[in-house]
Amino acid sequence: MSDSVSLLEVEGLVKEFGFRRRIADRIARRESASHRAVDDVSFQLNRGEILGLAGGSGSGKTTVARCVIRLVEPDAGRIELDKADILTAERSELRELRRRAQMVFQDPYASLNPRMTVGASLHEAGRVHGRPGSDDATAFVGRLLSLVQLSAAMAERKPRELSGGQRQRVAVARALAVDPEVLIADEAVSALDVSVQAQLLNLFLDLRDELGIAILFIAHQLAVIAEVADRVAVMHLGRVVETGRTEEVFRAPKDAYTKTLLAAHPDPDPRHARADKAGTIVKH
Amino acid sequence: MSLLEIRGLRVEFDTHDGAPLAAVKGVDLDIATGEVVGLVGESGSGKSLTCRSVVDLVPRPGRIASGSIRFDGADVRAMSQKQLRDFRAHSVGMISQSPFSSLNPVLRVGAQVSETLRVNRGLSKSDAAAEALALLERVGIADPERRLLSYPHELSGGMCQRVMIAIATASHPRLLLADEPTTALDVTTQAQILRLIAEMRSKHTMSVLLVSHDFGVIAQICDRVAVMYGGHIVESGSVDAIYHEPEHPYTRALLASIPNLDAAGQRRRRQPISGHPPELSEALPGCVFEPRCGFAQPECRSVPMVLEEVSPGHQCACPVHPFATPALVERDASKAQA
Repeated sequence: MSDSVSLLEVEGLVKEFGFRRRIADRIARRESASHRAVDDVSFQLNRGEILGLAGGSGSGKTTVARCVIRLVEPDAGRIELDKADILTAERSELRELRRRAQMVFQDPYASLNPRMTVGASLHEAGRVHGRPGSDDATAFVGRLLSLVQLSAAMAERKPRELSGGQRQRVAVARALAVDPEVLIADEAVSALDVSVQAQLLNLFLDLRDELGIAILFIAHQLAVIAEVADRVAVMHLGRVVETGRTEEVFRAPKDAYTKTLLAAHPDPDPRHARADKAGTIVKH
Repeated sequence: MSLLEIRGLRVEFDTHDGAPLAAVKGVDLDIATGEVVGLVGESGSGKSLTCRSVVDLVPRPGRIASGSIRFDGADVRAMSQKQLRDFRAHSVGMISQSPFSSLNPVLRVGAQVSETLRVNRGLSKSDAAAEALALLERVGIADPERRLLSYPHELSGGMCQRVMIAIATASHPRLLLADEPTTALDVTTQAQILRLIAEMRSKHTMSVLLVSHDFGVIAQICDRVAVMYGGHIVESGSVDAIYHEPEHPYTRALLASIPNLDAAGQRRRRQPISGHPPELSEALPGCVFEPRCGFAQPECRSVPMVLEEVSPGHQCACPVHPFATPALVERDASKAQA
């Protein structure tokens, strides 16, 4: 973690979405207005580092994540994974880069095939990418399940037979099946109950420590980011408004939006909750 | 006297193969006039069902199997359809997690607010329109004239929730049921909506039952909180007491897993709760938390859960008292002698 070798570099990333507003424009399929969802975003993720990406809804966090593995094509900017340019990569080259940067989504139920057993889903990912050891399905699946602290018996189950937390562990295991160097966790713990959320956060920390994997950790809850991230980038209206070490940004925020976000955080201690809230809430 | 008094509430779901499944298993809850009570728990704990039971709106195939619900002395379960309609229209208001799905997408906001006013308060068309404007103003919607003409999809989530609050409080209900009212909203919007609820409560001496999975939300506006787990209330008391002196092992474990901003820079792994919450089909005769509890004693499996006072206004359903203060241990000892 201390060796700050940059693994993923994003520079000047821009993504605009066009939408047709008036009915006449719709008929003519004219794009009359465009919305800059990501506006000149730059950051870097080092090896074995957890970078938190915070921001309210519509701030562009998810679009940034999707741009990184080209699930949406950015309009401008540069993205490099270990010095390899992701934006110009094609076919097998892109496939290989996508293997090295894997994504975990918010809703594991939507990202797992409901008709496949957990074991089959995990094995398929490894087999398709020809990962070493994937010819022995049982051992391959067993190793992955133990990495995410699930029992080997889970391999026989279907996603609907699992709890939310177990399902999200399987989604993480599926991402790990292809030996990625970067994990992009897009609100991966947001839909979980707090006690399960705490387990998953521990899992992400374990994966970083044991496998040296770097994680781009996207969350709208600042407290969740505080728990795991080494550094944090705060986004607002498509721009990164503040970056820094998590403790520095959260203790002494410089940007006005970061301050608003921190002030709005619901403190579970009722003694703080009321005292510092009186009158400090910024009205939009 | 309490405004709302729930005693022994049991909600069951009928199954095809015989035995019904109980999702709420004997809940007692009181809300005084003007009091804000929180109901906190994880998914499946029965908190939303408890909330919906107050207005007899348990979704099918669920039903209230037993227990009493008294609102200002009147028995809600004994009400006729007409009385129930009247009760829901005038005495209670309800807002839910997803304001978008609570509003009709093809009707203008103004029409929906006015409809409530004309049906429930019998206002004329023009009076209702004027009152709708005043209501939107009251919930802090900027430019209310324009917003009355908007469709729900043209409003932000926070604004939709304000409209829902306007509709729910249109006939000055004495109790507001808020089921996860801010879960779908941004933190900044969440803070505004919570403040609005707190303001409306103090201006109109309205009681509030706030259901949330997030203790942070509860701590912002509640006076008292009840912690639910596996269909039971395991502990209840003032938010301050529950946060600073939790007595039940589950409450303690729940609070310990809440992520905190202070964790930034001083990372330590949180102690997770081992095991998983009980399935509906698992009927445990004793404490529902016993299989996951680090302080469990052999008798925990058989002694039924009963809330007992541990200090004035603070009740807990754990007979083991693993975190008891010396005074309490003494009291228990003298009770045992007697």
